[in-house]
Amino acid sequence: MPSRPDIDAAEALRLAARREHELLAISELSRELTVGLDLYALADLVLLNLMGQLGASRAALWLLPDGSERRPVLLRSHGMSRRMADALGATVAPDALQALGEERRILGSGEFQARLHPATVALARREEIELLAPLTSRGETLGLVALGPGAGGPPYGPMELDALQASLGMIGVALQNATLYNRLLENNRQLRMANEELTDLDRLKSEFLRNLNHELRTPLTVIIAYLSSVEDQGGLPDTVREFTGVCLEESKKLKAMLENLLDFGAATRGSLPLDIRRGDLTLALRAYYEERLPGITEGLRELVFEAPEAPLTTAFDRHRVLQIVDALVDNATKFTPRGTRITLRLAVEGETAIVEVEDDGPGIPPERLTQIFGSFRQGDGSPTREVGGLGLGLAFALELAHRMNGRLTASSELSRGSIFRLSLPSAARD
Amino acid sequence: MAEPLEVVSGVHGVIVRVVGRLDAKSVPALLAQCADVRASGRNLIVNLSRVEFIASSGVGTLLSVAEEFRKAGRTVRFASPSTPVLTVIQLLNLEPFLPIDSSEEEAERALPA
Repeated sequence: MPSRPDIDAAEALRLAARREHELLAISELSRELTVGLDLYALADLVLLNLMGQLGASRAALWLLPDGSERRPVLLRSHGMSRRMADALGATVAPDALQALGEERRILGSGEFQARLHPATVALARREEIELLAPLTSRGETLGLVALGPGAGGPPYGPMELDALQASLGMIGVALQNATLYNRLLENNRQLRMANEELTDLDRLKSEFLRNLNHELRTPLTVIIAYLSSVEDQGGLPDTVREFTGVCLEESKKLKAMLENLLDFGAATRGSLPLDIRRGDLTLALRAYYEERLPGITEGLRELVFEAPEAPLTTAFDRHRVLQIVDALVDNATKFTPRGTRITLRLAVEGETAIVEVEDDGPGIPPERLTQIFGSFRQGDGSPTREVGGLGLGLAFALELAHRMNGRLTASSELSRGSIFRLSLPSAARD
Repeated sequence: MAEPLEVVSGVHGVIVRVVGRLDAKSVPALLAQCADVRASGRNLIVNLSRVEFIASSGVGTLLSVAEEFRKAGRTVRFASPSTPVLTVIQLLNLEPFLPIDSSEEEAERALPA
């Protein structure tokens, strides 16, 4: 009776050849998946490989998008109309797909009814879908693959499903890598765009500051000149003299603020001229202290000056250093309550002159301390803040310090106060 | 080096001759060419006599093309497949689904007029 073993041997050979074909298909897939990162091209490649591996005449692949709307989105379909494949994907309930993904379970058409929404089952039958398989990678459900029946014969057996499961594992990892890489590229693009936008804004800000000179300072100078000549005239009624005086005073304040803005613009463009000469820094600071003392005392804050007895001779731009100190003292008076003690201190560390402005006020919260030198910023940025000004003082002070190769830093402790420290190199005692 | 695809106009359809390897690298061009023929409303003969190697993605492409033409109500015939192609078609029992002819001429005769 030789016929029976012959049939078995032929069948065994056919199965072995079929197994070899599937293993070759998996091996090809592993090489082809490194070809590119275009998700749609990858989906094409994956579906054609699976169709060739199993002999299926139709297939489709959907991916789950990010975000709350987690309905699968069709990437590619072969042998089925795009419209029907779209509709099929849209009917798949996210939680059902999630459950399949967690089980890594390939559903045969006989199980559709029990696991899927009736609309999905109806469309899958209409399109003659035989298998629905979740795509997963590193524990995450990424999408779904559908395959039609084998064009050449009997339903898929365990051998075909084993090979499919192995392929799906590789496909999941490849799609996830491609998605992550694409996201990285997109994030980089958005960062680059944001950076370009910031550069444009910075250029616009510089143009605006340059225009201030002509558009605001010129008419303000004319107003001040006319107000001064009115004030100089004799025989004016008291009320007119008083009102003119107020207008003149406020115009001068406005002009000083404007000049600070212009200086700031010049400093940020690197075009601010410096006038550096050797001189006694102690003397300059003492003169400044004596000039500021009355106003600060009048505002019910204490101003103290501490400096070594001996002169401190160094090369510095007197006007610019005092502008920095003025910004620091202004800051201390604006943002502390009455009764605060403000100390202006001069010291020498090696060859560096240190100028400190310390207050024993409420201190600056850590999250604001990191932003305090930003331009157009104040500790309280809200529209209802109590303190006026453009928020440029400290930003300008920092720019000036850098222009003089110095450093300006701030430290603060809540309820204990703040210290602003200006370091100027090349100081030496005589 | 020969072009991977040669396209000529036949009597009752378009003939596309595949040359060399039919794999992930060459299937996009074949798919696009077949889609053009289908969109033009003409029938198609794919000559596979000079295919030296066919990958799974190549087999998948033949299946996809056959199914798309069937759904569009058009005819596609596969002429004189080389040994590597014929081997895999027989292994997967795809002969009933992929209509095969021994030559381009025979395929031409099988196309509807």
